Amino acid sequence: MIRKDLSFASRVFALVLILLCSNLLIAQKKPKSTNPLEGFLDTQFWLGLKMGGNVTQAFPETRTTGFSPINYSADSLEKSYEDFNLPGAHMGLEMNFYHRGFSISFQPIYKRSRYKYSSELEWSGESSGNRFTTRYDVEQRLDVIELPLMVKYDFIRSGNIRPFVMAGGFHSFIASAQKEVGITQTDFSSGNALTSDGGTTIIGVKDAFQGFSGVSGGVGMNLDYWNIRTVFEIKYSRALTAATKTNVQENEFASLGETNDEIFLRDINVSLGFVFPFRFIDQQFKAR
Amino acid sequence: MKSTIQNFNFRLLVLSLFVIGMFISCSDDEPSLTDSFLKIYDDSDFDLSYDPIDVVEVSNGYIILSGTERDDSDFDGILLIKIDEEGNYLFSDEALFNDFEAPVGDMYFDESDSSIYFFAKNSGTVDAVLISINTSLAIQSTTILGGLNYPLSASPTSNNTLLLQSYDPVGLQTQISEISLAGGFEGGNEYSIGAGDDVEEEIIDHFLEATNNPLPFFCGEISPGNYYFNGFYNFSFSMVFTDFGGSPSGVVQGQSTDAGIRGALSLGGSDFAVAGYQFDDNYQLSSTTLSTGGTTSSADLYPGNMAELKPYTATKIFSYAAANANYTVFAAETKGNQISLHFYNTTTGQIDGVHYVGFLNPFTFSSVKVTSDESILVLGTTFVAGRFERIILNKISRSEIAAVLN
Repeated sequence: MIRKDLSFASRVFALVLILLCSNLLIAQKKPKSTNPLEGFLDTQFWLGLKMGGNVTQAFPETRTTGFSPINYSADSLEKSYEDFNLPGAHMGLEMNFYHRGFSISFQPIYKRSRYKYSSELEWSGESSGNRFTTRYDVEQRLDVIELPLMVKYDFIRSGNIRPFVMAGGFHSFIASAQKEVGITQTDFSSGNALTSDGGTTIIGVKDAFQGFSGVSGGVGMNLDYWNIRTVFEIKYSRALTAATKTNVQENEFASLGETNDEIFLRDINVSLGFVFPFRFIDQQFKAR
Repeated sequence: MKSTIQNFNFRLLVLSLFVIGMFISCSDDEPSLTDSFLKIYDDSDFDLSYDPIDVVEVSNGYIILSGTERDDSDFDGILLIKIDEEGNYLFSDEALFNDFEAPVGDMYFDESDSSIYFFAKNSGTVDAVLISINTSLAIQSTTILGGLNYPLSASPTSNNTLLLQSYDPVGLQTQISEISLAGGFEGGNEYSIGAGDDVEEEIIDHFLEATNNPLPFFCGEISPGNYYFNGFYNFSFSMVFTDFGGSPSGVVQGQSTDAGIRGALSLGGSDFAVAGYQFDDNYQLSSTTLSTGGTTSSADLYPGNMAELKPYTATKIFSYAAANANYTVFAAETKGNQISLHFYNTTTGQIDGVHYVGFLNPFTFSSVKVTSDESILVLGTTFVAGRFERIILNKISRSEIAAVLN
C-alpha cells in the first residue's frame, strides 16, 4: 500500500518536473537575430497531436510456465512468439522545444500494443489411440500511457523539408491488459485426429503487468507547409525493464498452466503528427 | 547568452535523467517467486492419475506424498515428490512403490533429525507400516506395526509421537494408537464398530475412490492423554473422544456415513472448530462446544447449509495468524470445482474473507499447511484439459492473504 502511494506521488512529482522544464524552456531568452523569421524558427515551442501504428516483439528474457513436468523436459513447454506480427495503435500529444537544430520533445501517448504466442501439450499412452493434444493460442493486448522524452536533431535546418534523427527514453504506465486464450484440442482415441474447439477465454490481467522503461531512437521528417508542421517519424523502442510480473501466478490462467514469461517489449512505431508553433515566445513576435 | 543556454541544457539533462530514473524505480512491491506460486505437476502419461495425500515443508523446499495407480493392486502405490522453494519439480522416488500402498496423512517432519514420517499399508497384507524418509526421499526405515491394520489417518502429538487411526477387519474394531517415531506402541485402544457390522468394503472404496467421495477419517489431540478420532464406531461414522480407556469418553454420533463431521480443530478444552455434513449439505462452525464426556448427535450441530460447498467435500481446518487478527480457516471444495479457504475471525466469528484456488479446469482439495514464512500451502489436483488428473501445489503469500481479508 505504501509503495503504491509512493508510486502515485512520484508520478505527480514527475509531472510537476516536466511542467517546470517546460516553464524553464519558455522562460529562456531567444538569441538575438538580425532576421526576425530566422529567429522565430531558431527557437520555438511546438505543440500538437500525433497518432500512428505500431508492431511489437515480446522478447522472453526468462521463461516460466505454470506446468512443472515430471517425466518430460520443461523445454517442450516453451512458448513460440510471433514477432512484430499484430498491429497496434497510439495517439497523443507532441510537445517540442526547438533551439538551433536541437529539440527536446515530450510525447505523452496512449498506446495499445499486441503480441501473440502459442504453446502445446501432449499426452500419450500405450495404445496409439491414447493420445491427446492441447494447444493454447494467446493474444496479449496491453494498453499503456507512454511518456517518452526525446532529443531530436534536424540535420537540415532550412527549407520546408527538415529530416531529423532522435533518441531518448520512455516510461510506460500500464492502463489495462487483456489476455485472450484460445484452446484447441485434438483427440486421437477414435483412430483419427479429431480436433475440437476448447473455447476462448478473455480475462483482464493488468495485475500481471508492471510499468516499464526503456530507450528509443528513430528518424523522421518535418514538413513545413501552410501554417502547420507535419511530423512523420519512425521510431524503435526497446524496454530495459520487464513489462510482466513473473511472480504473479495467482491469476485465472495459472490454473491452466498459462503464465507470463519475463517479457521485455520492443516495438516499431510509425507516427504522423501535426504541430503548431507557439508564436509569441519572444516579445518581438507578440501580437500588436 | 550562450552560457545561459548551455547551463539550461545541462539542468534539463539532469532533470530528465532524474525523471526517467524515478520512473524506473516505480515498481510495486510484489511477492517473490518463493513467496507465491501455483504449479501443476504434469506427466505425459495418458493413463496416469494421482491422489495427493499431504505436503510438508523442509529446509530446502517441499515434499509431496501422493498415491498413484498400480497395475497389480487396487490400492494406490506410493509416490514421493521433491519440490524446490519456487514450486518446481526436482525429482521423485518410487522405491516404496511395490512394497507398500495406500499412504495416509498427515505427514510429520521431525526437525531434530530432518526425518519425515507417514503411515501406509503393507502390500499384499492389511498391516499398517510406519515409513521414515529423509529430505532427499531416501528411505530410512520401514516398520511393520503388528496388530494394526488398514491405516486410515494420522496426526502428530505434543509428545513427539504419532497418533494413528486404523481398522481391524477381523475384530471389526476401529483402532487408535500412539506410535513412537521408532515404531513402538506407546498406548491406544480399539472400539467396536458394532456387532455384526462390516465396513471393510466401504473402507476399501474410500481408498479406491479417494477424490470422489472420501470418508472423513481424521484424528488428533486435545491435550496429552486426551485424543479424538473420526471413524466407524457403534454402527455410525462418529467423532469419538478417548483417553485410551476401555470405552470412549465421549461420542458425537453421525448417521451411518450420511451425516456427521468432516473436519475438526481443537481450540482447547471441549471447544472445537467443526466442519460437518448432513447428507448433501455442508456447514462450518468456527467455534462450538462438543460433549467430550457424553453422547450427542451431530444432527444437533447443523445450522443450515453452505450451498457453495460440494457435497461430501474433503475439509481441513487450521489456525492462521494474520497481521491484525487470528483466524480459523476452513479449506474445502466448492460446487464450482474450486478450492475455497474461508477465513473466520476468531474474535468475532465472522467470515472476514474467502480465497479461491482454481479456474476453468476442475480442482480438488487434498491438504493444506501453514509454512514457516506464514504463507498457506494448498495441495490438490486439477484435471488438465478437463481429463488428466495432476497434482497442484499453490503457495499463497502472506500479502496475498492480507488482500482478501477485510
